[in-house]
Amino acid sequence: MLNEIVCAGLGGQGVLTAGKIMMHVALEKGLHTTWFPSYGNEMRGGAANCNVMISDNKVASPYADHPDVLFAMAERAVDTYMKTMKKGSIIIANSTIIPKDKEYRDDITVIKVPATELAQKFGNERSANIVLLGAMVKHTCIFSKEDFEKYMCSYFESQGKGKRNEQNIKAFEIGYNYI
Amino acid sequence: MSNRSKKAPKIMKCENKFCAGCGHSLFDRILGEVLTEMNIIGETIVCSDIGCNHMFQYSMAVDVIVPPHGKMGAALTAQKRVRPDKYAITIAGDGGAYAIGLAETVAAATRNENVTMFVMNNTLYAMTGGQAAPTTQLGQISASTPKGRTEKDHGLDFDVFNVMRNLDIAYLARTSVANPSEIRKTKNAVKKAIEKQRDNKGFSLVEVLVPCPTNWGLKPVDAMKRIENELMVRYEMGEIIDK
Amino acid sequence: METKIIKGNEALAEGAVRGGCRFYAGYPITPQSEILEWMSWRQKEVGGVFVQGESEIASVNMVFAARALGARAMTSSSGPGFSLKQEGIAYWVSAGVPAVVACVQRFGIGDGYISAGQDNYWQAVKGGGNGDYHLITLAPNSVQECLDMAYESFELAEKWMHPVLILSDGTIGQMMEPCTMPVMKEYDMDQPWAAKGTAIGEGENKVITDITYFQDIDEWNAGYIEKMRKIQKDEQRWEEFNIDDADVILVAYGISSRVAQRSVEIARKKGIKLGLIRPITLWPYPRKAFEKINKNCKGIVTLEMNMMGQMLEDVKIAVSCKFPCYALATAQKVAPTDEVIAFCQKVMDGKVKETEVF
Repeated sequence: MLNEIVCAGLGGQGVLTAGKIMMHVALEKGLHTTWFPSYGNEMRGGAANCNVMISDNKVASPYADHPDVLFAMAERAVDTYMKTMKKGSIIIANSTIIPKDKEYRDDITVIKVPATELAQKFGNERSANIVLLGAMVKHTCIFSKEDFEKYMCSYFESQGKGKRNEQNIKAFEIGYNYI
Repeated sequence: MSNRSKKAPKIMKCENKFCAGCGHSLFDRILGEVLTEMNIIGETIVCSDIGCNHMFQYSMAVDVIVPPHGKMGAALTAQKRVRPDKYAITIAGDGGAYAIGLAETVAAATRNENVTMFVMNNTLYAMTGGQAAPTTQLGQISASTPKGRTEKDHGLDFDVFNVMRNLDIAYLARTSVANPSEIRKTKNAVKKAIEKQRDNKGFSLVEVLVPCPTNWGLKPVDAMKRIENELMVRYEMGEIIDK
Repeated sequence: METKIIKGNEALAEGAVRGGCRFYAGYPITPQSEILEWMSWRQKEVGGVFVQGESEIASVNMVFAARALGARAMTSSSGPGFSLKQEGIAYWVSAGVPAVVACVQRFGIGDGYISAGQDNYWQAVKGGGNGDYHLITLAPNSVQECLDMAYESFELAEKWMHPVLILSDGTIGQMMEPCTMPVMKEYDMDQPWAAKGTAIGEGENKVITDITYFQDIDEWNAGYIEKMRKIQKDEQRWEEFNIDDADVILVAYGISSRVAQRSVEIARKKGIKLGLIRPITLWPYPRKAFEKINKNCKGIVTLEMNMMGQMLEDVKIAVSCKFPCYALATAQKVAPTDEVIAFCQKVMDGKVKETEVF
């Protein structure tokens, strides 16, 4: 099993962090994983993305040539990555930012979750990435909900940000339970 | 004569290789005496520049490292931080310290590194055949200013006092080797500069005006007179920073 | 042993620290700044020295001095910054100073580009500074190897009293992978060769410089060239995959070797017989690896992140031009696996002209 995941959006939307959480959970589950970022010269607001590879076996290339999953926080993510995605792959789309009438390929499953709006309602717009992670975990079978929640929390603890874990779990569940 | 001359300290292990009348040999002897009198030869690592000055290695029994030309400010910084209990000293040329290595010299001074630089100012690049240096005087003829240095064609000359006088460093002085009195002053300045390092006061630099009869086209005695009559008049002499 | 998820650059820095590095000097440049930033706090923690030099030139010469005085010392850079260090590195070589430098390659000429590249190959393995020399050049292709190679680099340098270069790239440097941490090595900087001050009567004073100043030059040259030949013979390292029956063999190092390996995996599943030789040392170039290539092999393809296919000439030398050689050199991006496989397929079918060496 090799999962090629692309997390993409704009700088400041937490796409790199989303990828790092996935990588951390994968490591804790004894899987092989790589994370590779790319971003523009701007520190904030430019395009940001990372490729996350998760596999039972040693990962050769860290580049997701044909993504199985696109974690899309902004429209540009879809424009950039949809064409190279595998048949039968899945897009987890932040439908607050990506227009409702966006056209997608027929051979790709699209899960539309208004992550930014849900996060705003919940009181912290910056949790939109966590909301979308909840949706991703539900609609892909890479991780179980329990594992993901547990190790997401240990990731934030390792970053000295464990204080917000209760909030993070809530945001995660909002996304998980949306559809 | 011979029974009145002072015996060279053991650090001067053999005859030097400098040209007749060269000021470097005088300076090396002064430094050798100070290191001997302070009893710190075994605690000293001299960082060499590249140029005539670096020939001290052949005649002085002291540990030496030789980084690229001019980079003594950087090398001394590392020396002192890696072995803070050892003295980090350089014998530099004016081209090395003030032209190709100016960035490193000034950066070490602005950081107030606890190191000591002795810069031999002979107003040109000697080893390569007497080309102009930042210290070449206006009007001075050199191998690369054949009609004399002019402000229009070559720019103004360099004076380390102007660059460093407002820096927060331990010691800055200019002396020469033009006569016995100046030699005594040089020896005092050398000793004081090393003492600043011993007492962890920070950066010290002593510029020593030295003759280069070979490239100046002067007899040794006349070269000394040039220092007295021209350079010591043009330059501010003595200690200007002493903390 | 603990496992941490870190960036390649951070692993390289930590590997050096655990390998005994107690002096680091460097200057910020993308994509290697994480090495400098890691060292800025880590050296303090282990009682070492960190200096952010006023330039790459100052930094490389600080390392000369620190190493000459015995401390395990390194610097790192990228692109034009690595160019600036070349004079200083040549001085390390001539003085036999066993220091370490890392170059995290970025793409482009002059200022170039801040993203990954592999176009410093010629500069790295064909000299760099003036004079007859090569650096022992290690090319990591994973975060773990960044750490392991840095960890080992000082012992390798000291074994030969010759500098070691770790030639990484922006992708290997910026990517994150789990990485296992080895134990901290202890190192005594009072080595017999180090300058630490010699009192009168204590023996010969140390002079750490271009030895030719003090030794007969012919004698020095003879000893030096013998050493270099011995390194060339003894230190070749590589990894190989599926080369015994391969119709086409890919040759790649660093990040390109990861893509090449994936290409081999995918191609083999489709019944296309690709193989891979991955040089781990770039100098000495692992020529021995090429001795095993079966005579039916239809071609050898280098995969490189540059425009001119810089490694191709070393492959041609390694196989004495007995096989057709090609470069799939795709500038600032590694070719995707599909493109690699398609190119190799064309080579098998005899549809590509042999690539000329620049």
